[in-house]
Amino acid sequence: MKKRYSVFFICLFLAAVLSGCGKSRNENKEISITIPSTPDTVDPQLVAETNSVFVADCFTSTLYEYNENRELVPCLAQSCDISDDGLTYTFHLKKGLKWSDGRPLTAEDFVFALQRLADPDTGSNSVYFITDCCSIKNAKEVSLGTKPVNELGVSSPDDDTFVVELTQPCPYFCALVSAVTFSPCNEDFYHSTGKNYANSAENLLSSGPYIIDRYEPLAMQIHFKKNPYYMDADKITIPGINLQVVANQQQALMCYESDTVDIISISGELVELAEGDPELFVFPQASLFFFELNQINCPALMNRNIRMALNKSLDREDLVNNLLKSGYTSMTRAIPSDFYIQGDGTDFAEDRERYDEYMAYDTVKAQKLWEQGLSELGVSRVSLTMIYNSSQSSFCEAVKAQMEKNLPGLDIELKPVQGKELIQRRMSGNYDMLFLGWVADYADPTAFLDQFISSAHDGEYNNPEYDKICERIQGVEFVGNTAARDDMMHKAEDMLMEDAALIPVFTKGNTFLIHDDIKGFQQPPTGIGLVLRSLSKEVK
Amino acid sequence: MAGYLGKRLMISVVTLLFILLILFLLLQFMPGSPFNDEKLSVEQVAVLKQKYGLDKPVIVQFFRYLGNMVRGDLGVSYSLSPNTPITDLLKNRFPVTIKMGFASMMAGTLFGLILGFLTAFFGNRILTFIYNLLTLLGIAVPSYLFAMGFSYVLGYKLKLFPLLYDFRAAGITQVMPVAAMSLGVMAVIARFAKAEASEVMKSDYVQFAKCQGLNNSTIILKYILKNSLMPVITVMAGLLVGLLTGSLVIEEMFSVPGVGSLLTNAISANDYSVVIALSFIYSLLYVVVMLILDLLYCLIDPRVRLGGKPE
Amino acid sequence: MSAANVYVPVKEDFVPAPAEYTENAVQEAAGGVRHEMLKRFFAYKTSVTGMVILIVLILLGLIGPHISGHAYDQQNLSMANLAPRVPGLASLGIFDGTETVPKTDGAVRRNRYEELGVTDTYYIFGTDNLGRDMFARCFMGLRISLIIALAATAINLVIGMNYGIISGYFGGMTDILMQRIIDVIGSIPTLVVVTLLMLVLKPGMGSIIFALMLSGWIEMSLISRSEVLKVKELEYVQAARTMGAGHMHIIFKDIVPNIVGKLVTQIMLSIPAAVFLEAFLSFVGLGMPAGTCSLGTLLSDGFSNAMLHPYKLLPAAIIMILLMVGCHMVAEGLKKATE
Repeated sequence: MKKRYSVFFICLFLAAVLSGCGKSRNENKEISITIPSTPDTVDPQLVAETNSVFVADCFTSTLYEYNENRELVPCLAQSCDISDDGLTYTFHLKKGLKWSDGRPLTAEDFVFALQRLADPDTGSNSVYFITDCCSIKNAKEVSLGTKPVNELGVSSPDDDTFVVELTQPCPYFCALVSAVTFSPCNEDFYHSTGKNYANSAENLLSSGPYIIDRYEPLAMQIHFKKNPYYMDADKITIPGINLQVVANQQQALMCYESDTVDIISISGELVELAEGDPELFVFPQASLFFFELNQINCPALMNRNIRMALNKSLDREDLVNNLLKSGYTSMTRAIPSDFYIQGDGTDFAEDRERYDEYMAYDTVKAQKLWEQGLSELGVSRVSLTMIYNSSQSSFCEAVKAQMEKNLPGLDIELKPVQGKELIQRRMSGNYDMLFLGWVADYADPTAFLDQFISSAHDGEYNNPEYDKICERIQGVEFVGNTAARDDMMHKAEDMLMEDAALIPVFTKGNTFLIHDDIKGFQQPPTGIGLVLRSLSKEVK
Repeated sequence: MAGYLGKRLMISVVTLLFILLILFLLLQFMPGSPFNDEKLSVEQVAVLKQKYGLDKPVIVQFFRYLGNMVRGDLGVSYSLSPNTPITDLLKNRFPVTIKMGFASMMAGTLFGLILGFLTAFFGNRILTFIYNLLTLLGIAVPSYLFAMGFSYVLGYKLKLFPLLYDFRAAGITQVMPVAAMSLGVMAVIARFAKAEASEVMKSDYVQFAKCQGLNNSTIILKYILKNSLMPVITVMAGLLVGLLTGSLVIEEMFSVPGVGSLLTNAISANDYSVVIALSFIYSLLYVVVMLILDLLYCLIDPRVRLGGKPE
Repeated sequence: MSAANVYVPVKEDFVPAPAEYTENAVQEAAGGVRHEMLKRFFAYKTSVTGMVILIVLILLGLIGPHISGHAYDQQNLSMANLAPRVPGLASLGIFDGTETVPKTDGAVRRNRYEELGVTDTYYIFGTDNLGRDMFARCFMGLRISLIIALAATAINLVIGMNYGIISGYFGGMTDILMQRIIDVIGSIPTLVVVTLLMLVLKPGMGSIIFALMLSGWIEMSLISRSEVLKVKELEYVQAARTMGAGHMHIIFKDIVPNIVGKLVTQIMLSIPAAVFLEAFLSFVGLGMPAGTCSLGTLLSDGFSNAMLHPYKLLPAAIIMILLMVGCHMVAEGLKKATE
């Protein structure tokens, strides 16, 4: 009796085991990639956070694009004419462009896409691309609903010509339009989906190398197949891409090692397991992680000596080497290196030690400045509230310990917040120190510099002189004179650093584990999104 | 019976209304608003708020929400998946979570009953040891620790089961999450089953049956099993809801596209409408399960049927 | 028969018995029962084992954070992520700080104490990513978790017991009204309430206790009420009432001693539930704030990197499991003893 049962259970177990042996990635021509969280939307005009951009990049193309060597090249556009005042951009599209259902892709689709972006009814979180990153004519008014959508400064004189009118020169405009937000959207198709545009695979058209063929809102698995109507379809060798959401990093790593996925994006402490592995790749991301210092509401932080003491009491190398590790680089300036190439061909932030006088770790000087600051304020103790996202807890605990150890009389109260409360506090100025990671949307130093303008809705640095410099950088003055503009931007950064207006801490790369038979995986210089055209896989 | 039924239904409805009000009021105090993107200006946020009616007085928002709920419209997600109706989000996720919860429930109950009854009937040393070990572990170890252990040993080292949920192979990919969740259920059911069975075995009617010379298997099947199974149903209701809510961490671990992972995401994205909707769905589920249970009891237990009330 | 022969009762005949008389009688009876209960409790192996486990854990929670020579919040980044190294055992080659790191390109054995040249330093449970002593942290976490669980349970007990007794003792409309309130509140899933509350309140021990309290008292009140309903009809309580004892007297002298056994069992089951819920909150990021620690935060910290540093998860997990096991064993013993 008993024996018969055990035989039954053994059979059951074996059946389970045999069916559990899934297909290994080596037998699959498709590529599967893990991403850490589910995209909030894949609507190209709505995507804002990095995971969504990742997904949207697979099925969209833009006027300009970065290639596998991180160079900006025309994609849907053939060429671009810029007016002498730098305010009108005329893009000439390539001939014979098609959507993934075979219908022609025309300049009208770009016009509709941007009108949709600006339309307050769309409610896009990415509208700042055309109101702040660059300013398209009437974009602000349209986004606030004070002007009708058709007054937006975009037009299509004919099917192959797309014209954008700006109110301020924007030397990086061609780089900016490589963002998915600027990808085309077909008006007829959009209206044919009713209210369900981008809610499922059927309600999306592709202009890029792949077609999304399985998707639902907040999907955990997203599948793409090759787009036969893509202009360079013959160069695409991967028949399909499978994006798998894996929130648990450990689970992702185990999948990678057991050969069920090809590429994983990995972060946090687990990166240590892959250190030294030739399959570990770090793609630089144009990011600045820094403490914002409230210089309007917090009396202690209005004192420059106090701010500089805080900066100099922070041992960034210790934090980066012993806590953060792979993919992190300490920062003592506001612009990361490897991000913007100046007119003369050099890296804007090549000199990483340029501001060490104000920023670098030096406990003796820090204490001196601190005491000076305290006596100027006439107090013996300073207490500051530090606001940060709860996922950054260990890092901020370490910062607190360092600063409190090096600056006697300093008390830091840690206040981790969940999700979007961080941004709300930042906007309402309800903090003393706020830890923020800022990722540039386009490869130009103004992406970082502009957030310290006092009129900017965020940033609590208030310096009319700095505002004036930034205004000049954005003005018509430097059109065609890149060198002078670069100088001006250096001047702006100098001012920020001399004032110790912020505490820059580190810049972070995106770390990926990529199996050695996958070639050509690349990210644009901003570190947001994907370059997929050159992807290939050797199938054994 | 009808009177009791009516009263019970009334309580459920009042409960649900009360829950809605509480949820709504609580969410008014939630920090952050769904439109705090780093890069939006104050005016742009105001426009978005107006669009979603968040600028109206609280009471207006509440009654509007209540009205929509009655029509089965849970509203749209604000930030998690902008403009997507929450019912659409739940459409595919709810079945996944329910299926997994149900599977865990069934597996846990089945093995729990087997373990509990076997130990009660043939309480030899080895069996009692296994029973003690499994029930203590099941109660003392959180399901996510089991999940991690299974992933590492069964999934990664032995490569027996897939590490991630895949809807194309839902059966096999569910094995590990279901196993992790069902161990807790198994422990509770086993303890309960054993206690009930031991009690019934000591009862007068079983003793009487024994005296009458009925053989053991008849007694076990006809009296003990039947009479000790009924009370087990009572613990199952609480466990089922516990499973659904407790699967939050497990779902995230195995990338299961279920309601639990949606709730965790909604919490961190401050998506009011999704948090309200999911909390309400969970509460609704709980209330309905309790109601069904009470009615079942009412049918089974004549004391209740005749106008009393279950204690 | 004449009227004069009939004894007519006078008022004085109905004077309540002297207080000390009833009190002694009841106390003797109750004391006897309690004595019997304790005897049975301690005769049962499971409950004694559970009791020992709990006592050891409580002692460790009290002294543990102070005996390793390192403070629980003392950071030292250069000493981060060290594996356990136990004095004495280290010379035998076990627990000497050597760990096997399962790197993606092959497992590596390393001893970071030797790499750093600090072979005379000992961290019994190793250190965390900020170089804090895990031994001190684990027992500090145990202490915090115990405080949270005990405080929440104590408040639950007070609220639940009083609610249940009032509802059961007075009966009638009071009872119906109070039970309807419970029907409504009890129908809200605990997890939903706790999660929402933690989102609204400022994170911290007080908030966690408050959130746990809001849901935990219902079970206590149901138990007290059903016991009160039973005890209320018992002869000695009826007798006490006939003898004119006041409500308060009956409740506290006659009823409360009778429900203590069941309530203590419930307390033993509430503590693990509270610890579990606290751990869950830490997992979804709503637990104890940074800088402090609890078993929950230790578990969730260790959980995400268990493959890399298993020694950061195991001690906290084992402590929590022991706490659960201990409470359940004691509860089982109590249940047996009160039956």
